[in-house]
Amino acid sequence: MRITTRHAVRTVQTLCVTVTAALVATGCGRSEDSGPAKDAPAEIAAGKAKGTVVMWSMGDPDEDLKELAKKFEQENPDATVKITAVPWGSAHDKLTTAVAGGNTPDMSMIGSTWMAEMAAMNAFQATPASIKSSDFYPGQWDTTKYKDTSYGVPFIADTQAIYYRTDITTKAGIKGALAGDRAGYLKDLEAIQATAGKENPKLRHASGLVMGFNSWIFWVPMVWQQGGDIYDAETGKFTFDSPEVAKALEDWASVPKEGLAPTDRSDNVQGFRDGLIAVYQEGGWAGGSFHKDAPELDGKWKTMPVPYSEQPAGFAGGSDLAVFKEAKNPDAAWKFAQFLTEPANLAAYSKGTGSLPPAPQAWTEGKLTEDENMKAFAEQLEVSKAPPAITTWQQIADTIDSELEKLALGKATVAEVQKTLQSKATSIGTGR
Amino acid sequence: MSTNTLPGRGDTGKQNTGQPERSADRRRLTLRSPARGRQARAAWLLAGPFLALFAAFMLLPVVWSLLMSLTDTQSADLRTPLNVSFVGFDNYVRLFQDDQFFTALRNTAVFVLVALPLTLAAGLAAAVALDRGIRRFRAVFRVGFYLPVITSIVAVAVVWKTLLEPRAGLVNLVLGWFGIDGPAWLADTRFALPVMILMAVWRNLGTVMIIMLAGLQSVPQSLMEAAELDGAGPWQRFWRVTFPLLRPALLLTAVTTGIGYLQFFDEPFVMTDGGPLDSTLSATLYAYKQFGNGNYEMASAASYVIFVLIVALTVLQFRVLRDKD
Repeated sequence: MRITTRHAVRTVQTLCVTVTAALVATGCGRSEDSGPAKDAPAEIAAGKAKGTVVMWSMGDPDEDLKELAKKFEQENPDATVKITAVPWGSAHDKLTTAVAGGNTPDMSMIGSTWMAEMAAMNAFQATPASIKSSDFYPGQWDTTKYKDTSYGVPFIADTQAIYYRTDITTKAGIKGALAGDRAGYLKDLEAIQATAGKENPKLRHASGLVMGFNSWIFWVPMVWQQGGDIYDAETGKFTFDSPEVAKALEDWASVPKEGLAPTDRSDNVQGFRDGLIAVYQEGGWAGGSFHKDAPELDGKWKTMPVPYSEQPAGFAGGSDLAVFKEAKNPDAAWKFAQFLTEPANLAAYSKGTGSLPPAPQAWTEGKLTEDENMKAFAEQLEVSKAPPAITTWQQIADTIDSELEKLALGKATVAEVQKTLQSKATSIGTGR
Repeated sequence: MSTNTLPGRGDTGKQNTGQPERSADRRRLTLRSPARGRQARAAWLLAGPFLALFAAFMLLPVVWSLLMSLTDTQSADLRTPLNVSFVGFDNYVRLFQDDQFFTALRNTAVFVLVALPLTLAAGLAAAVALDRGIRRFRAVFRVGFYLPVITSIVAVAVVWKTLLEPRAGLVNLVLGWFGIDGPAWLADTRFALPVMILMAVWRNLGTVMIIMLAGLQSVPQSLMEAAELDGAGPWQRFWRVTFPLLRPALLLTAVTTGIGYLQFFDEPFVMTDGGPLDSTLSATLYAYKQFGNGNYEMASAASYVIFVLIVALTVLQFRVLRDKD
């Protein structure tokens, strides 16, 4: 998954230099007024881009991005774009090291859950006012924010939808998609489970479940569906002790508790392909990979929006484009960022890579919902929300992961989990 | 040099008494001689590049990590180091109030206390078997036992993880042939750590075996024959003659394997991420996770606790296993 923030920083060297400087100058305490969050938006000058833009992209060398860069160079003959691919595994290290050492490229793709941490490091320029938040899905736009200031532009959206195996669900007597309300959805899962062994000889569990790492991504939206939240940005307090959280925990635990999903951390993608599970929740990329790696399944699976209890909600992740404070050519970098996030270009990029564009207009212009299975994702993006933009988020997320596991394995009750989450989150705090 | 100071060379005992002092004087003189100075300069010159790199990339980070463990440095402070303040031993106090750190220490302790003796015993047994019994296939077995050692631990972990996969894995498939419904090895709190111990023993016994084998083969045949003449049986010959001679090899392998086990990291990192329910979370994985979460101060403090434990265990091993004479 692309939303990880876990790839830890092993290079202590650069860090150490700064720490020495700190220790040499020790005596001075922490000054409250320093740091970011009062940044004025950057400005994009009129006219065409000039000079060289150095950009880091994450993952494999990205041919579709290079295509767009070529187009940009044609429109701006005096500009050159240099794109360096950085593997996801080492991207977090590379970025923090570059920021700490003041040796950054002009711009980079940034995993959405890294934005707060790196913005707190004073790494990014604030987004120019000429880039309009209203052009993007609100949840995706929120991933660029830290302390009410935006530090980037959404580029790749990520949200989850339900994938289901039509060949298995029809044998359970379900016509079309499963029910979209929580109670009906659970009944459908039970119906699927009841056919395990007889009509569906391979099927073990109706549904798959993500256990351990990153399981919070599937649970936190359930709190939002209840109309609640886990963090109140106004007061800066965690709200794990709310009744909405209790309901969401009960809902989450009900599936494994009733034996509708395995609790053994088995591989959901493989299980879905092999027909061991009939239903599971996954990001948009999975459809493309099924088509590529398991073409025999083509036409046997469909997607639907995530079922909900009170109101629809989903998780907003993905990657944003950010321009660094120390960029050598910030003007051209912002121009390139603006160019990349134009609806037509987002649509082209999405068609090439199979990723979800973060702007509604890109969906319409690119006619992306012509693919039936993309509709669910378009619907989810409308209601998706970003996790709290606090620098300690990954730690909070780790805590949620381990408490959810206790709940699923029946090692703790809902009330105990709530209590632990609230006290641990409060002691971890929101960073600075 | 000082051959003339040796007694029994025609000198009288009376002359000898003054000799040691004079030879010490001479040694001090030669140290100061210009030739020695040139040698020293050359030595520093040759060692210099290494020492510089060592200081820059090992010593400095180690020292700064110690300093960092006494401050409140977080990733957000990288750009504003003046914000960092000195907090004394606060981080260590916080560390010892953290249940998760104790879980990590306990898992590491279980791992070391079970896996270390098992590895040493299995390695020694393999070495003895190779030395005595299976002479003809010695090369084959030596390679077979040593192969896991030279294979990348990450590759080993990934392969084991695949073998142990609950549904599609080979282990449960084979168990299925005998009508046994295999557990989800790595997702079961009862099995995850034992599986990793087994894996570590299998992987590391090769190192112990190679060193023990070298030790066994250097036991003088005459000593064994003498023991045999004195009426010692094979069992007695092993415990009374061979084993004491293996003590240095045992110390070496116990210390190096022990240090490696205290840094138990790759297996849970690749296979379980410390789960299920923290049952395979090791002390180093805990420190790593703190780094990843931007808590450099806690990560440094945890690293120093691990460092102290390693020193303590090593000193203990030297006490127990060192040659008595």
